[in-house]
Amino acid sequence: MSERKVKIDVPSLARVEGEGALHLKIHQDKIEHLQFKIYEPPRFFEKFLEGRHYSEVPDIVARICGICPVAYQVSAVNALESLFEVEKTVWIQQMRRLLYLGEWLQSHSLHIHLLALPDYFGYDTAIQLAGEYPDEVRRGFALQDSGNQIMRLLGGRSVHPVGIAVGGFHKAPALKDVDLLLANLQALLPQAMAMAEWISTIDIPDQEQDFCSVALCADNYAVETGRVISSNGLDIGEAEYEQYFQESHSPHSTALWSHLQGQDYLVGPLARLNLCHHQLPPGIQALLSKLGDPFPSQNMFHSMLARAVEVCWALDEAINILQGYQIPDYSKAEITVKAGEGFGWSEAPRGLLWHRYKVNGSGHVEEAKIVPPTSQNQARIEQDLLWSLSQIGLDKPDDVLRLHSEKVIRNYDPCISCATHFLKLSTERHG
Amino acid sequence: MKVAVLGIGSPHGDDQIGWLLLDELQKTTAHPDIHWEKVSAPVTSLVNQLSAFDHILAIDAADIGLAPGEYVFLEDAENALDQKETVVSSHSMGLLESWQMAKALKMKLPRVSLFLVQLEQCEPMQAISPSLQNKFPDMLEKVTCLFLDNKTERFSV
Repeated sequence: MSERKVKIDVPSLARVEGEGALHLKIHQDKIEHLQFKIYEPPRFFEKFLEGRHYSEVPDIVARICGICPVAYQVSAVNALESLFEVEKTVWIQQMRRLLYLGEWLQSHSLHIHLLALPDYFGYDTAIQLAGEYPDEVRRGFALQDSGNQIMRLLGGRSVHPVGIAVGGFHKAPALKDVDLLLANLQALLPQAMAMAEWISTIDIPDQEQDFCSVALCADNYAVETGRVISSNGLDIGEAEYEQYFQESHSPHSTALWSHLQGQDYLVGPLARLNLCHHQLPPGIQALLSKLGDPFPSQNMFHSMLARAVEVCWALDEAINILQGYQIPDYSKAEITVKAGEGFGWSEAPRGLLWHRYKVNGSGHVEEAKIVPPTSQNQARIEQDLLWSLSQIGLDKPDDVLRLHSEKVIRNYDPCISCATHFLKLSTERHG
Repeated sequence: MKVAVLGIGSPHGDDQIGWLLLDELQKTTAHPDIHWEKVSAPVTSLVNQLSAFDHILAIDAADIGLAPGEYVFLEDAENALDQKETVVSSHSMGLLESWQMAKALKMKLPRVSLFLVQLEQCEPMQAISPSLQNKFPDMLEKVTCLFLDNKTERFSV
């Protein structure tokens, strides 16, 4: 009997943000070694924040990611506002939610159409997909643009927006701009529904696996705040996060790994729908029923449909908020600086994003800690790869294994650049 | 004719040059029909915007093998944008990726001109390098002349 040894290296993963790689060794149809490597250099954002005034924090953390800057801003201001005991008006809470929905819309639409879909149609690039499905991809860009419009309204610009301040917003949008945006979003809602229906018809691997879902839960479908719950019964507040979630280094990754009491776990759209889909409004529930409602689902490949459903919901929710829009008496609460430690989190497009800040009496940051969704999903991605490669059969040709591995990884929409600002540099000197 | 001027950049070192030139250019050549925009990568909205204009002038920092502060002007950059290979990623959408995507989607495409300045460094939150600072008046004069060249009506609106 001949002995089969397979070594698959994907030195640079395409259609993911940042620099990651996969190394896989198979010996006699058993995985001997598998590593999802993140080798992008660390970015040290937590260190940049030390010594900065609290008012600078929203604009600095926005630069961590060009796709989910609002997530970083909202988690940061949540932490600082909880420390300073800021009373946020309903208007401020609703506008934070609306701005965040804009980010979900643009991020999810881009991931579905540019990053994930080519895998399901056998294309290498989104440009090839666009050539074959121009109407669908054009629709995807229109949906993405609706998110950009929301971000421009409240953030001043769609990339690295500057509207958020600790305590609220620098200014309130004018009614005429709100009316214009509302009309645009209303016109797009049927297109979003059609997109979700199309996504539901695309064949996905039938692979159910064991994993724990973790997401925020609130009175409504949680986005900008809430309590963390999990499919294994966890229910905690922001300040308790580090008691349950542990971060550790791994030699093959410049991003930290997160575990929930020693186990890998999932954050992101599928985890949110698994835990909170009962909170979706009747219109979206009706859509889900029409699509065969697979949620809660243990099939990771339902993540794309989860994103599509969240696009519909985000558009619907944004319309509801805009319909009730009124010019506020003030858009930003007064701040009284207080020394201490503040905790904040929110649901980034890719999942839970937790922040902690230690601030001194003059309002300057002494210490910052940020745990983004991609580092939380890292351990889950490796477990998924181990499991799903075995499921499709390790005797498959190398190209099949490589393509399936890439599809598994891209399905999580990993943002590697977000995840690589945590490495603690320790220097050992001799002599 | 609908014209857009895009200053592409970030707050990091010489990558600001597109924004700084756009600010100054806008002061001297303001026209109500010109769309002025400072953009940062990823320029995720550009695919939708391209078809709205007849001519786009993009000003950006680049590493093009020149001395820091030297510049090139590509009056008709469409061929260059067509030929460069790219893989579209949501986080790195730029002019090149947006151009190729819009072309695949059979959207109406504008004429594109590029003014590219050789950078020296893009250090986080740092000022532009002295070499670029020294050559800034010359760059501004050049880009203003190109913009206002009435003889060829390159950017007439």
